[in-house]
Amino acid sequence: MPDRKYAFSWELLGDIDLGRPNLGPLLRLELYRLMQFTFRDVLERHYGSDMTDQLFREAGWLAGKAFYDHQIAPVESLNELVRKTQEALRTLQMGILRVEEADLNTGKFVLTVEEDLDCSGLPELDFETCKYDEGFLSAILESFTGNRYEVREVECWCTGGRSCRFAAKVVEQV
Amino acid sequence: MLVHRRPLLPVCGQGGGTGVSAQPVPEDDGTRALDLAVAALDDLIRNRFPKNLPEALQVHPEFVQLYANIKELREVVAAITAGDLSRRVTQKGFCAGSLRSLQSKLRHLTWQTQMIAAGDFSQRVDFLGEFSTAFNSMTAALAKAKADLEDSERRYRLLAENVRDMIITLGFDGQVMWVSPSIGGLLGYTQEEWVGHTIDEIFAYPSAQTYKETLKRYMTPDNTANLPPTLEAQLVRKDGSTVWTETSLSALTDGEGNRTGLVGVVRDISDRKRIQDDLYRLATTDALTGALNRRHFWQLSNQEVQRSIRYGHPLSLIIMDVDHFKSFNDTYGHAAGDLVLRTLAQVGQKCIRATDVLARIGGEEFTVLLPSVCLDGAISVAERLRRTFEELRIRLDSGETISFTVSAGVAERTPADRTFEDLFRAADTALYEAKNGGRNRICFRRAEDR
Repeated sequence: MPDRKYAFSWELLGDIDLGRPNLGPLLRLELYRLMQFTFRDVLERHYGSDMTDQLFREAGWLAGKAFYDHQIAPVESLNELVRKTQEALRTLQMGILRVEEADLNTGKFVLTVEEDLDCSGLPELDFETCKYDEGFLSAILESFTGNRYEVREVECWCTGGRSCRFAAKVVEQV
Repeated sequence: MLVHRRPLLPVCGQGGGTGVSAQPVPEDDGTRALDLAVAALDDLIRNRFPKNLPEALQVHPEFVQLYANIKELREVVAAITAGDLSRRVTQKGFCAGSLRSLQSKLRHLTWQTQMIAAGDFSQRVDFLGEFSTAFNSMTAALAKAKADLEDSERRYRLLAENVRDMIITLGFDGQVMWVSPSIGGLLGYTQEEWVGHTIDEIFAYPSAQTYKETLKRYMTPDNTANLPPTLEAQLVRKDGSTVWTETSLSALTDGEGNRTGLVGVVRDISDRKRIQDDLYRLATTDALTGALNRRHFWQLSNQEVQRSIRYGHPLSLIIMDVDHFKSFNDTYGHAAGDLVLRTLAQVGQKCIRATDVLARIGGEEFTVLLPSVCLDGAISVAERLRRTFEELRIRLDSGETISFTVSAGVAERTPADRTFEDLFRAADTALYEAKNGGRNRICFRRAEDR
């Protein structure tokens, strides 16, 4: 697709200090969710539920990759990855990351995010909603390990949990 | 609530949710059904071993599900209390979510503790109230202790790596665990050339045998209690030259105080050795001739007398005196006299065995102690010396050539001689006879003449 309009780059986030000298960089979370859930609605009507989930995962992956490059890297060890990611997510008020399991040898991770940007406080919906987070976390793990990861949410605020739990596994060893 | 949405226990005859035949509750007895349900739930919540759900209540699927949910929550709570975080919570809803959240946080705490065990003291807890404060204080204290330790180790390493002395650590298997970079300056080796090698390999040359054996003697945890203050040894450099060293040994201990090896500080003592040698030479030799001085000669001679007594070996003594030495000094000057004395010492040394001892004991008086030599042998040596000196010609700076003669007295230790003074007295008497007999001659004292 040589003539794309919306190819993402970190620079597209713009110079917020310059552009919003009075309002600053913060925004009410409701507005973020307003945008996300209206996107979901429209996308689902156009492409169906599965494709919407997939598109959100891919967008999350793109965000996670750029986030790792600009906010986390360089990273020398798993501990440093966890610590830097925790700090970044907390500082930017995206969520509170915790690690239940982390095994680089098996490639298996179980991560939880509390006070998650996307879903914490949502009504119970009987299905997991954090597809964007799945892509986001898989990009961070892939950026660090070099292996391709599949991340799936196994518990969500929307399914009665108090935090979002994500299980990650390697799907392609590079 | 459940009982308001539909009758708690519909009349349905026999049978229930579990397939076990249920005892129906009369339709009009709603209060009794409620009492039964309350009792069952109370039993489930309060008692360690609750009874089975009464059959009468098993006919109501929603109550059975509620009962199963509470039972599952109860089992998960019990499992968490027992430290088991693996129990799955299958139901949804607030209570189940909260329990899963607690499991998740405790699993994260487990992971954090594992990370701390692996040395990552940056872990912090923020979800367990006062415990979080205590935990975070602990990790902060550990981080500080680690930083202090690293700082201390860095300072000691800096010290060890920059000190001129060579520091070496040895395991009890004789292997070099670490050696300071100063090995380059002291012995010309790199650290890599020694680390991992055994002392048998690095001290393979014969002159280090004693040093190596001494080190080995202390290479057990028990023996490190009696380490010698220092070990002196001449070590060989990589280029083949030698260096005098002094090694101070200490026991190397692990964190629990167990002895794990030795640490040695090896110092170059070449300068000290040189000074010691100079002092020893000055203290034991005559500055003019280089021969042993009177005091040292007396010490050695006393030792030889005792050895002769113990082993029954013969021991003889020659005392020589330069004839008319005073007139030499008067005629040719003191420099010429000194030259005669120096020549006598140098030439005399060449005329005797390495085991014989030549000394200058007075102005122009010299002695030769001859261990394991009887009187006749000593007379031959004395005569050889006399003849050699008589034939010797010394050229002065003025171009003049001079010569000198000696008179000598010879004696052998007799069984009656218990001290060196006894032997000396006999030889001195013979010397007196030689002087009185016209000089340039040998006189001796046989045992029977004494």
